[in-house]
Amino acid sequence: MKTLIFAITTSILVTLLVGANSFMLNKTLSLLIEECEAIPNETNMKTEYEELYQSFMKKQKFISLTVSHDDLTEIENDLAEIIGATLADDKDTLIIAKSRLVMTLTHLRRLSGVNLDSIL
Amino acid sequence: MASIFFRTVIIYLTLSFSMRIMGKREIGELEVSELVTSLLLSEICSIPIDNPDIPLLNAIIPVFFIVSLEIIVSAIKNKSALMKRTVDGRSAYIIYKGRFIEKTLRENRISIEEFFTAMRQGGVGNIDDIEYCILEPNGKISIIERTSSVNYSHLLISDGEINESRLSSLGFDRNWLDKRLGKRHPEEIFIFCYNDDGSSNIVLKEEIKK
Repeated sequence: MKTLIFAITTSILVTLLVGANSFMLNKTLSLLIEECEAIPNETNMKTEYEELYQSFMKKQKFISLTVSHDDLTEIENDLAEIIGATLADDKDTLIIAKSRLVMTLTHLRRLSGVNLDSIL
Repeated sequence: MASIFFRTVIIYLTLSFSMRIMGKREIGELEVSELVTSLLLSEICSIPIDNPDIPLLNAIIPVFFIVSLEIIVSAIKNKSALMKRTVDGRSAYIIYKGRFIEKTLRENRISIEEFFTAMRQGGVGNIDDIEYCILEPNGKISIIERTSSVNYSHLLISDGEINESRLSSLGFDRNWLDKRLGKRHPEEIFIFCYNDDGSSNIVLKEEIKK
């Protein structure tokens, strides 16, 4: 009987945890996308992009619990490329890297949700 | 993370269904759900070891969930004969009161040579010495030899549920069963067996005994 209670409790807790994780991840990634898109595509926005990077690093502690390291590395690489483009005053690279970052975050947000894409 | 959760459930159900379809002989000692659990757990636990990029929680959470599922399914199987039959299948007679039932071998894809191997492993040298031969849900073959004192018990009620198919295979119906039970209702019975010598055994449920 105790084992059964443990099993039912664990099942409920896991379900709640997964639901909460999915919701929080979705919210965190949405915030990051918003913050990224709010910054204009100008090479004199180095400080803003660095703040975006710091914001991501703070959120990464939570995201890294359930998101693969490959995905996290990809996001960091894109951010590094954006900051590098601002230092080099390279607007084209900045636009490309930012676009890639937004798409990566959007893709991750879609896969972290409950939909057919992520399940299949 | 949510995708891992749903994938775990889908893979669990898919594996259970596949093992059920494969039949009794592939399962060996374990019940279907136990075998599925063992396979899944070993595979899931190896993933974060093989691939360090995968977060550990993506393995730990499914492991706990699968174990919980297994316990819940086992508990339901103990309460529901229908669930038990659906998940594990049922035992089937290969030989019944000395009579060979060819259909059981064919349906379960057991060759005659495999049957004779099981017979020899059961210590029986002659097919005529077998009174009952049963293919169990776990794939094992049980043999009950024909002796002067064989008095096989046929389980007709298990935890309040009547085994209708076994009842009719013995040539009895509900009226016969009701007469045997007397004032007792089937739901009050934990075990009811009919023996070959015509006697029967009744074990009442604990709460009724009180």
